[in-house]
Amino acid sequence: MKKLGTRQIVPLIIAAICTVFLITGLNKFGFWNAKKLSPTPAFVPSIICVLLIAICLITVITSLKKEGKAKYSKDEFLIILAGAAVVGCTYLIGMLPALGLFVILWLRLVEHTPWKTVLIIFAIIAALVIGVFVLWLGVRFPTGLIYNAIFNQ
Amino acid sequence: MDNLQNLLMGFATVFTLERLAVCGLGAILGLIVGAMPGIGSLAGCALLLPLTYKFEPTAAIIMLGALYYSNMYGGAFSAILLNVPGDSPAVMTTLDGYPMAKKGQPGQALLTANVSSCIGGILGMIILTFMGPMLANFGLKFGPAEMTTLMIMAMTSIGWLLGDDPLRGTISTLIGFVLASIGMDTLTGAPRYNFGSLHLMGGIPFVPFVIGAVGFSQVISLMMERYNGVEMPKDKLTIRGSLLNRSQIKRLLPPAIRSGIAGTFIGVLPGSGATAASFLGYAMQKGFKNKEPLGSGAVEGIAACEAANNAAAAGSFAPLLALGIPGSGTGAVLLGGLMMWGLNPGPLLFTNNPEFAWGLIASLFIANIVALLIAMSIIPNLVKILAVPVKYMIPIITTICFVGAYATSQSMYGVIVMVLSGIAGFFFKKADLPVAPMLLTFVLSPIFEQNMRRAFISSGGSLDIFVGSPLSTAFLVITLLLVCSPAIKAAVKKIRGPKAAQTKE
Repeated sequence: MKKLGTRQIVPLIIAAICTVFLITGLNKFGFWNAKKLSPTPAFVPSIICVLLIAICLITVITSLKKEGKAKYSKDEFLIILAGAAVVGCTYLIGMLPALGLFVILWLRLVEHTPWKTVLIIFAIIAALVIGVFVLWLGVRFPTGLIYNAIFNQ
Repeated sequence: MDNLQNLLMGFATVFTLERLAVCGLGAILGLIVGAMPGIGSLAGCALLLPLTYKFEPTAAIIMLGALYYSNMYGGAFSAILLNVPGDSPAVMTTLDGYPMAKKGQPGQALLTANVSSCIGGILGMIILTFMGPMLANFGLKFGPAEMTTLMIMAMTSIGWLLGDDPLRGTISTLIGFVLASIGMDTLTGAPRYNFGSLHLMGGIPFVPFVIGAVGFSQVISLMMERYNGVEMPKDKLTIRGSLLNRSQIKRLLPPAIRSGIAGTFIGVLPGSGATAASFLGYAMQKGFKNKEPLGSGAVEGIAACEAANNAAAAGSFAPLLALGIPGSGTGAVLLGGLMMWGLNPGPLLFTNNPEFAWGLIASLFIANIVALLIAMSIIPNLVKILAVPVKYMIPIITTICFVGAYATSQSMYGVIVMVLSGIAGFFFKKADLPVAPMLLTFVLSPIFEQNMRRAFISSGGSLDIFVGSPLSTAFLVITLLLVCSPAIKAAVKKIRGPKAAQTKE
């Protein structure tokens, strides 16, 4: 039997999620309100889930006959990891320092960029974010646990 | 003729130095804010609304109109240059805009978007000028059943038309439904599919979701090609260098005019707005002959969606001004702005405040032209973004994605949604699942579900309501044709095949 690849695993995951939605929705709301002669909140999602499960299974079966596999690179997962690290660091040191740290570390450690270029890119991003989002639009970015512990005691 | 005279009166109102300057200022600010991913026209208008306090009422309303229109232009910039849509109507622009920019024609891609936006906007304004009240009444004929069948048609067309594999296109279309069903039920207000989470009770925020699914997933994909440079024009890019040639103009005009007209009518329908218009404009273009396949950087693709979304922006003024019903979220902000200045949109607006009403319509015409001229003049500077090596763009776009996601949701929940949808979008690409149909249904399914359930309630659970009116029957027939079109096409090909071969022999 052919080994399952991304083209089959993703539809299978979608089908599994739909099954959870289908069971949760029907258990909580039911399908049709016979008293009011109207659909329940789970009416449309249940129909969609049944359709999705069926189409996903058909797609998995038909794609097994086809050739071709998705290729992955280590670098692609590096940026996902970096994104997750920025989210984690935001809770600790705040969003803007976390993003600043990400830009510097990424350019220095992953791209091996010279310091001069790193500083130019950092300055451009800082000007854009602080100038537009912080000063003009007045967005208050999260400051993180450490900042809060020091300044908001 | 009365309308034309009134419009000329409106132009006379606008043509003072102060009001033209205000219009220009509104256009520039709107362009900048509209181009920022994650802000878009709704937030852009809301954020810039306080600026109008500094002006006299007519000038303030002229500025509002200019802000609104140029916001629509700005959304295409980051969509074309960075593959990050500035707002939801620009999602479709990424499909052809970014590939065209990558083919070494970023100036042409931006100009195509801007010229098409202008054509769509002007067409929409002309239709609005002469048919405004009539269009508003037509929009009101759309009851729950008509809106339901219209939405079915919209979603069916996009699912089947996008991507080579209709089954995978349908999967993507339906996932949008499932994701949109998370949160409060639109009719009863009961939480559903939130699995006990307070954040999920508010649903999945659209803008962070789009930024992730389109923008952050693109950053992940860029990792593979970060050492391949983008083909840039060898000479320094000037406004003249980014002008469209005769063949490109010929390719741009028909889709822009078609989508401009269709977009205006879609914009009139309450709740449908520019996003639905841009999706439908693109889907409609799929049915016509294109010199290059859509999705590969075709002029026709950019023209169709950009003209449709700007025309819809104009169309939404019909119910807003004539009946006081905003067609979109941005329309609601504008309505708030108008009311702030003592204007009460409705049937009496044109009789009681003709100077304001026609001044606003005239300012929209001028804002359209001013936004085009300003956008054209900054194209050479904007295009320089593409000369930046991809490896440097990765941290820049990632930062914009994070900041944009936070700015719109004002919570880390939005940022987490952005990252997760980016990862999901990346695996979707690997599994050959198109992302765009999912985004379309995510926007349209709440409108669809709400209307469908209302239709069922009003008919006592009977399906007859969906075939009870000529409009909804027509939409259902078109849907059926769309679903069957691949089979019909294959059958026609089979019949024609032997005949064509015989003729050749």
